[in-house]
Amino acid sequence: MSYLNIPPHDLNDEERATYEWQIWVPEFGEEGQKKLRGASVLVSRVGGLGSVVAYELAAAGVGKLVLAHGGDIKPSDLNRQLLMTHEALGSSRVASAEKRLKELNPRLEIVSIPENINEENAAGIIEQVDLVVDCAPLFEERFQMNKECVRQRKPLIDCAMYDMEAQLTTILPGETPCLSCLYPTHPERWKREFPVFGAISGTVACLGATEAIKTIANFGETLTNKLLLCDLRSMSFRKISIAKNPECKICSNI
Amino acid sequence: MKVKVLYWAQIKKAAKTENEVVEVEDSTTPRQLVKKVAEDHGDPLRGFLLEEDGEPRKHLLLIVGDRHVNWDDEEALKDGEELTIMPPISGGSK
Repeated sequence: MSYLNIPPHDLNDEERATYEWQIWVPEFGEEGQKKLRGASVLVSRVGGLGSVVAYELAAAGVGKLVLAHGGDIKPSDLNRQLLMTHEALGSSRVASAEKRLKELNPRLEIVSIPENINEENAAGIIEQVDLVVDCAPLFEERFQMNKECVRQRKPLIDCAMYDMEAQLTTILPGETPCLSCLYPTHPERWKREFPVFGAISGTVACLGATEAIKTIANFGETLTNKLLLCDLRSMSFRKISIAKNPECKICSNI
Repeated sequence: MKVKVLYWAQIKKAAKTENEVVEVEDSTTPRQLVKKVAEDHGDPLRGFLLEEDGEPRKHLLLIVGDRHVNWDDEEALKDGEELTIMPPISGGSK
């Protein structure tokens, strides 16, 4: 039984040719591709993690991406935010992201929102999509997306990293723990500047995009009720069992 | 008994080690072990692990072996088990 029930979208000849090699993936096939084509995903934000998530989903043939990210491109973005370019320094991040994604996949529908997720805009933005990939640096944004995804019963892929370590989980509201089950109180000590290589954020982003593709096309085994811990300094990976918090203020009543 | 404590992300730096073996009394719970290492190390690790009132910061993830445990889990650690203490991490861009 699939958590998401996305109506398949017909493929044209160009799309069949473009996605031929992934349509060969067992259990995915043309049916999976049609679901990707019919799907819409919010990527928030499109920085080190979100740039690569969005690029992989655009490459895979997702039908619609909603990108939410405020601000303009700075030099310090360019070691990891792969949808930004040197030429576009000083201009809008989402505009640069949209341009790069369209160069790869002109069929892709993109809604660019030059704002970060907040209490006022979260509900309306998440209503536009089937699934959310959380790539935000601030816990205020993360908790807001989590709360709204729980309310709207939308899957949330949560990607995070620090230095050469990373973690990832797939939240299906009602079936898995939510972000507030894991973090019942607001982390105050978190600083949003942190050490990171683009290769690390890119690795986590590819894992997150893989989770999104599997969740949309309903195949494989996703990180539901699991937290993947990656230490890329030692190349060790651990899958941790996680459980709902019966006293969670966000999801215990659903 | 002896248990191993593994530190992740920012608190690894505060602990000045990735892991350590700690001698504890039988029946020690994960929560008690966090308080012990915080007090043994002092600051800066103590400040990462404990609130001003000396109680653990509940936004830390506690993992025993390969299982996440809640702060009110009273199940005692066993000899040779590993407790991973993970601070919250996020990602993305400024």
